[in-house]
Amino acid sequence: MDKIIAILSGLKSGVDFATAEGIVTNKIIDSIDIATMISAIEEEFDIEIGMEYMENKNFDTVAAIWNMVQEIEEE
Amino acid sequence: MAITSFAFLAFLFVIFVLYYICPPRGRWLVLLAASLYFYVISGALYFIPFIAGTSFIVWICSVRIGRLYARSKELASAPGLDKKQKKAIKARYQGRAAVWLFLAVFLCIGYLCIVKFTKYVTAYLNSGAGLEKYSAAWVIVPLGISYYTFSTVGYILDVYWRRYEYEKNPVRFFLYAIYFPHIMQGPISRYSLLGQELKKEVKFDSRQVVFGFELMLYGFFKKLVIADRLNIFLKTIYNGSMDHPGSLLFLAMICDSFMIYMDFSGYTDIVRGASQIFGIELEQNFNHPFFSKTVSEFWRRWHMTLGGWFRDYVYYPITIAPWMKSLNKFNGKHLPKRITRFVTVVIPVMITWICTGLWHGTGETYLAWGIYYGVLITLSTAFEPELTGLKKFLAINDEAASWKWFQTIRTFLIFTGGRVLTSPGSLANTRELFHRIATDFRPWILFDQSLFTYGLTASQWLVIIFGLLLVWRISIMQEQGSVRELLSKQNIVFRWAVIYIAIFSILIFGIYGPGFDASSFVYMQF
Repeated sequence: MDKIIAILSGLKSGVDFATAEGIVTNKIIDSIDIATMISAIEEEFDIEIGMEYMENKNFDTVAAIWNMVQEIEEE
Repeated sequence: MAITSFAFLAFLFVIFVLYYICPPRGRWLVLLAASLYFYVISGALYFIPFIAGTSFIVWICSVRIGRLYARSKELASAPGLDKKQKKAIKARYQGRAAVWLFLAVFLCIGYLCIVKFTKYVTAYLNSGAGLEKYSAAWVIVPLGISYYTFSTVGYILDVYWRRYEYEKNPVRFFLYAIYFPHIMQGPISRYSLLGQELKKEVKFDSRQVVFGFELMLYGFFKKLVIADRLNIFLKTIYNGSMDHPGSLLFLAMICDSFMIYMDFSGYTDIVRGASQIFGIELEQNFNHPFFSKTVSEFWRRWHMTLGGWFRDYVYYPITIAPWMKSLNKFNGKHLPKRITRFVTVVIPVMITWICTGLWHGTGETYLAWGIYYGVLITLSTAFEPELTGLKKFLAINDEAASWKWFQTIRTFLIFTGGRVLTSPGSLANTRELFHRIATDFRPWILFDQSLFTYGLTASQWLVIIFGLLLVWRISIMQEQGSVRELLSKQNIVFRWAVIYIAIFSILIFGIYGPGFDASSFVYMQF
């Protein structure tokens, strides 16, 4: 999860992403940041995030992103 | 049937009675009958096959996709298969599902393109041929096609992306497509939200009915008292030529921004309120966009369901498309980080905004409008480090009220700049407008009574100013919490006094009646 927090912190400083909730829903990061974040996550974990995962609930907390990454890795 | 007419209110009253007389399980059928009646009365009987055809094609394709996925799951769960084999099964069935998806999207978006582009293409061909050789009269434009096409295409894409199961009942799906409060101008509802709302067994809730009625009143006020009054002035200014003093044209630019907001958000309030009366929640479409501090924020607050649609079904698919990822990887290896990020942003943003422009209209003005926002958002992202550096250099305090006001006014003026590309009718008129503002401003025109010769008297302007201030004050209250909730906690005498004042304000100050067409909402043309 630290890797995910590092990616998010690189997008926006001054936010405690470890405890943040509603990262996408509450517009803490915007759609352009989301695009950058996806590229970084895919590169970091060597996975491909498909459109079926492109929902707010999968990006709203670090834990949700981590769960998504694990789910894709298990596929 | 115009939603600002007495006929609509009578229609709503009859449906309201029938809806709540009917047992809860059958209430959705009352809404279906009402929606069919409304669609035929507002458009034409021969529009029905188009919307029914669209929803049936999309529904049948979604059923095929759903069944393919079910089969894929069944095969992949067979014992003894390894990860690779399971993946191969999934990919094979995904490919088959893509055929059904393509069929549905091609037919729906294809006809929408015919509707949008034929007029423009035939005009272009006729200009080359020098005579009226080609005609666009054969194209049938069903009521609300831009809205129901996007709603239904969004549904099938979500089913294809496994976000939810397909709808089993085609009639229920048809109700989702034709539901009367959202058919003409949206909100462009998601099936995951409206589809589920329409499945609820609604029980009578007087609170919901009162809240819905209050929201409708607020919408009528915005539309009939402010937007339609501003429109009288705008029609005399944007009448084909830009032969007016620059100061008046500048005032028209500003008024036009307020007019479109009052018109469209007023419409949305009326239909969301009407839907709430039946216990059906429609999505929010506006969240006080004029309080935005950046263009990106503005578009997250203005026509939210359209912006959300383009983000989820155009922007994200481009962003994570394999070709886009390959391009980013290639750029990452060969180009500086800054340029790679620029390319990552510019391609999806420009495509999304050009498509958004073309959704509104297919002429040069809407293309320019799409490019305008695409370029603005791209540049603001690309030069973010420089802008941040400049802010630091100038020691700007983000929390200072003056800075916040500057940002809000700047965003408003950028929006106004975008409106000026489309409202005067052609880019030639837009050029002429800016030329007049730059060379023939004559500000005293605004103070020597000349202003009152453009359709509105001094008292009419006062009504507009008072109306705008009232909406501004209510918007501030709404930012802090629900105004209707607050009102519901007041004493009954005060509550009803507010409602009666609102009704009489609309009746006294509203622009309606014979000789005036209050029916034409700006966004209906899209």
